[in-house]
Amino acid sequence: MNNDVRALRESRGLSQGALGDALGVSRQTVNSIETGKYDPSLPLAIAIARYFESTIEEIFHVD
Amino acid sequence: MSTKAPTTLAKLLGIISGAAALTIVAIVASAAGHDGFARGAVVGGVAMLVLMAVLWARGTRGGAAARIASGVADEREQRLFRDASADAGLAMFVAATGGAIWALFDAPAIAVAGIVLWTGLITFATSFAVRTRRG
Repeated sequence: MNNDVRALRESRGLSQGALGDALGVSRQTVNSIETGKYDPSLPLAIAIARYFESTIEEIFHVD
Repeated sequence: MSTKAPTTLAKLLGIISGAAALTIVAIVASAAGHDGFARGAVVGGVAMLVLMAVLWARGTRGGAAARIASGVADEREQRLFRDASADAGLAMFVAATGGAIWALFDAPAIAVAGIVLWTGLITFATSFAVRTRRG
């Protein structure tokens, strides 16, 4: 699953570690999500969407 | 998404419980006349307890293994642990089946038990390392 997490994070000048701290996950998990290696759970996806004041559909793309 | 870390007291109790269990295993093995097994259990058990203490000391500053051991792993790290444990369980099942067949040919019980244990340990370590690298 593709996503815009990296673009959103970089647009806010955040490091992966800082975003991880804000979401309660490790820097490695943020990296895995950004590279598409790990699809977050629904609660984490919702947390990401809320953090970026967006919706899950706008951030995560099936194809 | 992340879990609450256990207290220092809980970690200390974990070490003490592990040491107590280890002592019981060593005493039982020694009483049964398997001094070599008892020594191996003590050496391996102490190594594991030291590893746990090191991982707990590193806590959130360490990698996925340290965070899992410290009880502060996030959902991805918990999944890595769960999947590696499942791989180890499956490998141990296969090893146990092979060991049962080997036992029909008078294989020593300690050798069979050792193979099952080591199969699990090696499979878990390998699976966890590979899964962590793959994400």
